[in-house]
Amino acid sequence: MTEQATVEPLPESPLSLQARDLGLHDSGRWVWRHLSLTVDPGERVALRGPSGSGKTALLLTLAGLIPATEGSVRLGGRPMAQWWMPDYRSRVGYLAQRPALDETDSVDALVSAPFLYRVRSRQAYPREKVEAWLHVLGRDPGFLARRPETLSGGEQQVAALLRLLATNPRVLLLDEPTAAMDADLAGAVQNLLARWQALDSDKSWLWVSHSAGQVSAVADRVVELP
Amino acid sequence: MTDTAYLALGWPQVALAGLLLLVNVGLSVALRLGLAKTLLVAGARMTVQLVLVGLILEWVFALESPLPVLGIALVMATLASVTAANRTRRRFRGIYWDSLLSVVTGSMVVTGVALAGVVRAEPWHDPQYIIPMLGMVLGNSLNGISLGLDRFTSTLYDRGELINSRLALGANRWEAARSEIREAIRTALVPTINSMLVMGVVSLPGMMTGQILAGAAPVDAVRYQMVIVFMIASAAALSSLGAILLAYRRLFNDRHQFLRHRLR
Repeated sequence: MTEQATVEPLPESPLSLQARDLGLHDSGRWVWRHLSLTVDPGERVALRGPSGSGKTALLLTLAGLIPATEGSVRLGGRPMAQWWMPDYRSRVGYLAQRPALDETDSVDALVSAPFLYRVRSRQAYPREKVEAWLHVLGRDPGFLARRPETLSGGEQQVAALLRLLATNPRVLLLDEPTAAMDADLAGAVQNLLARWQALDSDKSWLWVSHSAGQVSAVADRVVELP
Repeated sequence: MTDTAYLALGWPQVALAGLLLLVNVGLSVALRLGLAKTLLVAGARMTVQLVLVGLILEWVFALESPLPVLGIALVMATLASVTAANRTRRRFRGIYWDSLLSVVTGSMVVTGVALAGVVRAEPWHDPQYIIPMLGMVLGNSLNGISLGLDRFTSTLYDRGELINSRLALGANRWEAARSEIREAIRTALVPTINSMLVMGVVSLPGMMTGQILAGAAPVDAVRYQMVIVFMIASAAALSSLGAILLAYRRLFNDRHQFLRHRLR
């Protein structure tokens, strides 16, 4: 059984992510409603809000993993409904707070797994880039040979982040990506993401964080959920 | 086949055999297993169910008309599909229809092919062939579907975040569910494969034993048994594959979203 692309892929142009009048109704209540936000190319946006305000649900909705009850999301001006979702999601990359990792023999197999998907059938896994990113994080390439189940919580977040960056998304949706890391590793990850964005200044992110220090370091602008 | 008929049994002889159940009851009481009542209830239920089935079959066999035979086949298939869906711990809306569709398609197709092409019963609806064969096929389809669906829905439920992480990285819905589909089909087929592996070595199949007791030559009985096993295996494979794929279509939409909330 295979899935066909329903639209022609867009050229690699700067993509803005726009949400208009979004609402999500779940378990008898509105998680949020009349919510609009835009993440323009090159913009670094922080998302804040109290626990239970629906930050994760918003990222899942923007990633197209759960349907919004009302409102619309556009990427590059094109409504989400007109995108072939694997294509959409390879441009809008979502990183869960507690990453779920498939059972593999090595971190390398884990990080390269998305290149087995049809949407990337013509792309090669950029292993040299991944090794260079590891270098920025102060880790040697031996990290890639480790078994995923031997990783600490923070290291699992690193592996999941490398896997996401390797797929070269245009917009990152990051759900507390450094929550399980010590301060040193968290700082190194912030540094890595800043360099990654500086190399291609059209790339953007929406970064959920609870730390005021981190927000001021990683964001030009803050969106608050009530 | 020999002309000698089998030794028919009367009710007193059945009652005598029934006394053997008292061995189990005695063991249960002596070892305080707490099973005595359950054993007696199970024995009584089996007796009543089989007597009723015997009466119904006597009636159907005498009618020599296809409609009652098809009616009974449909009732059997419905009961099998409801039982299969009920044994699944995580259910979703539509699971009973999916189960019925898979059971009916898988077992009717296989039984039809076997009756028309292999056994060539005359007439095709001769209940002497269709009812026992369909019964064996349905029993195995039921097991396959319930094992496969149970595995499929419970792994999907437990691995919701993993499935979403695959989708988030660009997997289409088939790529996101493929390994869980494969696991579920393996689970559904393991009992059938295991029983084929040891058949005749560790276990003598009940149907073959029955035919031999009824006076058939062992080689004839073996040929029948082989036909039945091939039918059972293909029906179990077809119907569990069907049920799992139908469940997949209900739990993943064409926006490549995993609808975990549909699992209860």
